[in-house]
Amino acid sequence: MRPSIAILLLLLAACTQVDSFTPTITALAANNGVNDRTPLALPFRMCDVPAHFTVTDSFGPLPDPVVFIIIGSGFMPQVANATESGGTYRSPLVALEGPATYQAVGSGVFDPERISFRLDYGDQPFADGLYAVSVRNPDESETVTARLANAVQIVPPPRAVPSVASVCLISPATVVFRGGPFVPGLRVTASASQPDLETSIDAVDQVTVDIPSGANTGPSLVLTFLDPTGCKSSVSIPVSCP
Amino acid sequence: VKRLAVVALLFAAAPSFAQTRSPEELARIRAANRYEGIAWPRPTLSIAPRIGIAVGDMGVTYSVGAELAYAPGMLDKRLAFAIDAAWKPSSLDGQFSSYQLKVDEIAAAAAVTWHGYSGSAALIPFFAAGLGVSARSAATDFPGVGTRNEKEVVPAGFVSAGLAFRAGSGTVEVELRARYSPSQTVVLDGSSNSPFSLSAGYRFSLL
Repeated sequence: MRPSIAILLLLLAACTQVDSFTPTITALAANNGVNDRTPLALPFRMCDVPAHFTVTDSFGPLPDPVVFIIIGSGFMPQVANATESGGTYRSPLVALEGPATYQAVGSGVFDPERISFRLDYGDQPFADGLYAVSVRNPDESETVTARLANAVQIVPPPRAVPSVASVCLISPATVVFRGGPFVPGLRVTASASQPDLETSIDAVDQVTVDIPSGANTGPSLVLTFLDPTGCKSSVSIPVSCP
Repeated sequence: VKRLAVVALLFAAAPSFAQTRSPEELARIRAANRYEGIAWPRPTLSIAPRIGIAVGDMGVTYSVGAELAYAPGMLDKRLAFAIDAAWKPSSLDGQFSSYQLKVDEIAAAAAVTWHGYSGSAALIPFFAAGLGVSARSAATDFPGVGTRNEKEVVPAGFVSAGLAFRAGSGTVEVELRARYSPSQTVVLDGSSNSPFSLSAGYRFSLL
């Protein structure tokens, strides 16, 4: 046998085989530090702008990321090039797919059935709309991308437009606001020190707010509409009586 | 008078105790003795099991191997053709214990060896080079998550050099070896996982 043929046979002998893992997604769960796997109601709603902040010594208030747990199976990380500088740890690729695509960062695999999703806020608001959550394992041979459709809804802060030009607070008043989205769990406050105002959600774009007398002594009443996601907006209504 | 007689007898007998030999005879004796010290076995068929340590990018580990060699008689049996096989386990921990990598490797090669048998040296060099395949099993364990296994068979080659000396009916061999078998797995990605080894073995003569 000629040497060139022998070398060719050796090269042809090269072959690799790798375990393959196929991910699936069944639900989302809250990141409450407890492995209770209680599913979140879908779509999971999140605000398109930061709703909560953590004050740091070095950088001041920083927006809290959106974090939740993806429940499913077959989640498996991978290490590449382990012999150089500790290697590269590759988590499964986790993303929101919808009006835009947002890649999660620092997704950690807790076990084959749980992986964390973390999305950091940037300078621009996220695009509003319905999103699918997707997971793909990192090995190039694993081409299956698991998706859970309509899993996340990114919403703007509730927009509230009063139906009246002014309000008189000598006696309790009822004011209708249009705009939205107004969803169950909406809270409306006149100030941080006062209890929530009574609200009635008439439709996703209409809410009725009962304002007690004396809720405000200034020339205008500032109401804060707080969505369950933490999204909030404020509206100012002049206070005047005929 | 008696004492003088005894001393005279002793002086007269001294040359017989010294065993006077001619220079030619002494040279022959020396040559014979030297030949006994360098009578290399030069086996036609031999086997040399080895054990050693391997170092490199996966740290320090151990290796076990064996070489079956056939010397057909060329160059006074200095040249031999061999089948060489070795097994080596190795492991690596990821940062913060995020993973543990375990690699088992079995390498086999067809090799050519050359032993520098000499009629005047008690310690001889030997060299070898071989081509073959390396079969690896790499298991990356992620605590609490699972294990990702990768297996491969890739071309491999090695060169080695060492020293041998007579011991009993065979020879003790100490060998330095460098092996090249770049991995095609994702987790090792081009690494020959601790490719340098220092091993010691004993060559048994079979024929």
